Parts: sequence; structure tokens; C-alpha cells
Amino acid sequence: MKQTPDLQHIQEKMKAGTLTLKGFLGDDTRTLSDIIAADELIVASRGLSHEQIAAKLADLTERGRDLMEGEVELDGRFRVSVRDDRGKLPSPWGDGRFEKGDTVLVELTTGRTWRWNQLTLHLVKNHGFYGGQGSDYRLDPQEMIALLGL
Amino acid sequence: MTEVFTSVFILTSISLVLVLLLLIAEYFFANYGECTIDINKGERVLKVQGGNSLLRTLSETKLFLPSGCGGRGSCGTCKCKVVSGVGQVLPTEIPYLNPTELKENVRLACQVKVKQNVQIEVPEELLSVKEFETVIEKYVPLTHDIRGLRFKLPEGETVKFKAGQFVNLVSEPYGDVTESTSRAYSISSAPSDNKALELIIRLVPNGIVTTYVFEHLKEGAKAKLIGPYGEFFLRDSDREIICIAGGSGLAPIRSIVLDMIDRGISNRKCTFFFGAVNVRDVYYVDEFKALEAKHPWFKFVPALSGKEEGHGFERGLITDVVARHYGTLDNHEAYLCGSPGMIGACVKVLTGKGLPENRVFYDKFS
Amino acid sequence: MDIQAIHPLVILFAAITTNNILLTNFLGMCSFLAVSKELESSVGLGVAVIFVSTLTAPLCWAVNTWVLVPYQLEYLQYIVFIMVVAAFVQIVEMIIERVSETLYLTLGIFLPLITVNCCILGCILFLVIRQYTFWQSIAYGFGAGTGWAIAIVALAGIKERMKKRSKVIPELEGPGISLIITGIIAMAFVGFSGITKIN
Repeated sequence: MKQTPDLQHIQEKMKAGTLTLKGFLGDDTRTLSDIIAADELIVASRGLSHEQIAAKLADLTERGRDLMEGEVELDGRFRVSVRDDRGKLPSPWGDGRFEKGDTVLVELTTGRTWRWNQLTLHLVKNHGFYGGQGSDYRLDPQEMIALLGL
Repeated sequence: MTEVFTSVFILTSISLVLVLLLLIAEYFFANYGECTIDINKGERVLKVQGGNSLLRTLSETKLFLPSGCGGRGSCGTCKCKVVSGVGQVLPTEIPYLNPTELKENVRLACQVKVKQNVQIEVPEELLSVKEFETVIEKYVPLTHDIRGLRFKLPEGETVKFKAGQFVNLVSEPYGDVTESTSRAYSISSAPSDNKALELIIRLVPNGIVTTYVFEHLKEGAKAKLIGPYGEFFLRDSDREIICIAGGSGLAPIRSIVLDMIDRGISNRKCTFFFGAVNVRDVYYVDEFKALEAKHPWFKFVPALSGKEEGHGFERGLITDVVARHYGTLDNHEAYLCGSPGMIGACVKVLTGKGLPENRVFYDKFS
Repeated sequence: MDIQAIHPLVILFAAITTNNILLTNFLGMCSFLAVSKELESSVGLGVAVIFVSTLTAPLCWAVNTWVLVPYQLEYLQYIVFIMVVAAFVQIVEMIIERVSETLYLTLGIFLPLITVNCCILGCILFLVIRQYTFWQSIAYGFGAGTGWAIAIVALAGIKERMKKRSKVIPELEGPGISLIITGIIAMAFVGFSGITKIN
């Protein structure tokens, strides 16, 4: 479906090699507005908000921080490690710059991994963007809701 | 037949007339002629061709304002005070300027165009920032995700910097990355080693420049470095020195220690606490241990917070290890290099032991 | 009816009301829909369109009357008119960039849009087909641009006010409701018809 020129520009910035090496879209072929709309539907249908999901993830990052990036076990279910990397990344929406260090979360029972950073959390919280399908930084709302017990 | 000729002739003439008009217009309107850029109240005056952004115009005269995005208006690093000669603040600049900066005529150099004579003010040290077309002399894996690189400067060129400063490494387009960009890395070699620059670079997941370094640079490859920049360096005093760093934060500390040795500063005790989780994360251990053996005023204390045993290094959180080593800090200075979190925690421990905050210097990873 | 006898000011008035190039002829819709989100940029674009149409109308009239018609090259009209408009807009862009950076940033992106805006080409072709005189062409150019500008400013104003007070169903947000509003405005302008005839 066609999207506004603004979102088109933002989608251009999300492509691989522009702001980050692999970009934010993975191998998703949908338009940005479709991606956001689909995820919005899932979140709204469960009566939740993007802010709630982002807040829970931010909390995991805070509790998982270790001075030397060591791994921290949280809630008996997760192993979290938070990286410290120098520098900031600009948001594709042009609304700020955010620290780079990734948070990597491993679910102990399944061994599955998810990763996010301050920028991707900002995109979830303020723009309802959870990453394109196939992106390393995709946080599927359905999976997040189940994982975080929301 | 004549009709074909006439039509082709007329069409061509009309096109030519229009092109001529455009060229004339471009000459009169888009040509901004020669302008002067007055830097720091006449300290340096440049004669330049108008029409380009301030950032680009300055870099063409080899004056490099720091830039994190290469002039695309997405990082806000190229701030510069413009006293006069440019128009009003543009909507593309506003997101990056706070009210004080707006009041003081601070602008984004990549968005401001030089169309007439301009007066600007830049920090002094920028006037000694240079661009170096280097060749990689050494490319060493230090840990599983850290590389040590030695960049040789061109014949006859030298670099002047203070131990603790950093340079920008420029990456060239590759793969999906279509534009050049640059990132900052602290210099890990000594200032006396002025025909080369050594950097310690850690791979960042999804990172454009670090992936470039890890996948496209090797010995013999060319690389552009711009610098030096930075406010992190050893202060002149006789106080004892506490250095704390982790990961690639070792770089400026190494530069500072090597510099002290070169300058014969032996009256100040210096202890370097290098924090990590496991043994595989520490590097340059042999080199530092050798320095420790040779110079009684220097101590090297790796501190591992992981569960490994039997490695001979001190164990515990870096903050705890530091705390163990000191009583009251009444004649000390601290130099920290790492993430805001690590620095915050160390500052807390140090000030808790009586170290005044103005004697703590840091190179924050941000 | 002798078209050439109509007074230019009548043509100007009619171009805004009875023969509004956007509301009557429905030309120039794309930039109209895209830019009418904000009142400020709509005014800017409107002014730019008036400027371009007022000056390119007589320009193309001259090229047509003195070059194309004498040599029986009317079939080149489309190409030549587009070239003239494109060159003209380029020159205007350079001038604006020189004079005011802010204006350039707000309008600069629109100028290339105006080149391919069918309202400009439509205006020029109408005046050629109706065989207007020189002064009629200037009047029509100015009138068409002004009519287009009034339409876009009206739409932007209405949309801005609607943002605060009305609830539009999500399926109609954006182009949907814009077209509906435009249709209603067009129907209102039908009320002008019959006042005067210019074609």
C-alpha cells in the first residue's frame, strides 16, 4: 500500500548500509506503514501499549547492566548481557540520537535470543516500530508479550 | 523534407536558448564568488569559493570540524559558532541545538551555506587537526573481538597530539554501505611515536565502521585518519595517578603511560586497573607486565569479575578492586575511560574515598 | 463568441471562479493533495504556483506565437512548453536559493514539483487552444495560479480545523477525506457558473 513521502524517506534511511550495517528492515518487503500497522494490531488487540512493552524491556536492560558487560541472570528465566559501545545512532525519524550498546537476552528454557538497544527501544516506544521481519533486532510483539508476561 | 529540418532546427535552437539562459543564471545566481572565512577573530583568515556548506568548505581547506555523519545533518556533531555572515537558523538544525546554543549563534556547519564573508569561532585545537592518508603497518588480533592497528603516516608527515586524545577513522563505501562515514577511536600509541598512530578497535554488532575495519582492512591497506581531537589527557601535577578502563578503553591509558615513560616522569605513582570479565578479554598483558617490571612507579592490575580461577589476576568487580587498593585519596588524580555506567560507578567509589570530583578526568564512551 | 474581445480582467476573475483550473478542470491534484496538510506550506506553494503560472503563460504564448505557429510546428507545443517551464523553474530556484535560505528550504522541494504540475501545462495549453491574446494570457496565467492557490489554501485551512474538531474514520484519513472535501468545494464553486464565459 502506498505510504506518505515522509514515511518513505524514513524507510529509505532504514535500509542496510545507511544508518547501520544491516539496517532495520531485515528481509521484509512490506512498506514501513504496513509493518507498523500489523504490529499495532497485535499490540492493540491485547489491550496493551507500545510504552508498556518498551518499559519492560528497558527495565531488563537496567537490571542486566554489568560494569564489565558480564552476563546477569534475571528472574530465573533470562540471561542478559548489556554492551557498552562508544557513540550514538540517529533515529530514522530524526528525533534524537541514542546510545549504541546492545542488550542481548537469552531465554534459558528455549535458548532463543533477542537483542535491542536504546534506539530500537525508542522506535518501539515512540513509533510502534518493532523491526522488519528477518532483522536481527526484530522484537515480535506477540513473542514479547508472551516472554514478558504482559 | 524542409519541414523536418525546420522542426529539428527550431527545437534545437529553443533548447540552446534555454540552456544558455540557465548557464547565465547559474553564473549570476548560483555563483557566490570568493568569500573569506574569518576564524577566531582574525587568527586565521581563509579565502574560499562560496556556494558550499561551511563544513565542506572548511574541510576543503584542511580544517576539519568533527562530524559523525559526514555532513548529512543527522548527528549534530559539527556545531560551530557563527558570529556573522549567514542567514537564520534552519529547521534542519533546530533539533540539535539547545536554547543556549541558539542564543550564542551556534550552528550546524553542514547545514549552513557560505554565500558571503563569514566570521566563525572554533575551539583552538581544531586549528591543529589534520587529515592523514595512512597505510596499515600492523593488524593484530588482540582478543576475539578487538583488533590493534598501527597506521603509518606518509613520508615526511608527523602527528602532534596529547596522550589521551582520539582520531576519526574514515570508512569507505562497501557492500550495502554507499557513503563514507567516520567514527572516533582513542590513540593508543605514544606521542613520541609521531610517524604512526595506533588504535584499538572493537567490533560493534551491526556497526558500519568496525565491520569495515574487520572485513576490509588489513596490512598494507590504506586508511584515512583525521585528528587529533579530545579533552582527555594527563594533567601536569605531582599527584598520584589512578587509571581505570575496560575493553577498548585501554587505548588512551596506554598512550598516557607510554608518554610518561618517554618524558621521564617517574615521580608520580601510576596504577592502571584494567577491568574485564574473563581472561580471554584481557590483552597487552605481557607488554604492561614488562613495563611494570622496568618502572617501579607503574603498577598494572587486571581485575576479572568472572568465575574463572587460577589465572593469577585480582578477582572481583573493578570498583571493588579499586576500593581495596586505596585508603583516603588525598593527593590523587583519576583517569577513567569507559561507558557512562562504569565511569559513574568508579566516580562514586573514588569520591567516597575523598577524591574531589574535579580531579577525576574521563573519556566517556558517548 | 469572439474570445479575443473578452477583457483580460474578466478572464482573470473567471479563472478564479467559474473556470478554476483545479476545482472546475481538476488539474494539478497531486501536489494539491500532498502539500495541503499544512497551511503554511500550502500558502508557500500557492504563491510559487502563481509566480510560475503568471510568468510562464506569456512566455509560452510568445514562443508559440512567434516561433511555433509561423513555422507550423504546433505539434511541438507539448515538448517546448515543458522545456520552457522547466528552465524557468530552475532559474527561479537558483534565485530563491540565493536570496533566502529559509524560503528555499520551505519551497525548494516544491519547485521541481511545479514543473510537472499539470495545472501549469494545463493553463498554458488552455490559453493556446482558446487563442488568447498576450494580455489575456497574462491575466489567465495569474488567474489560474491564484485560483489554484485559493483552492489549496482553502483545503489546508479546512483540514487543519478539522484535525482539532472532527473525527474522521481511519479508512478515509488522508487522501480519502481530502478528495471528499475538494469535491464539496468544487460543488460550491459551481455556484459561480453562468456569471461569465471565457471559453
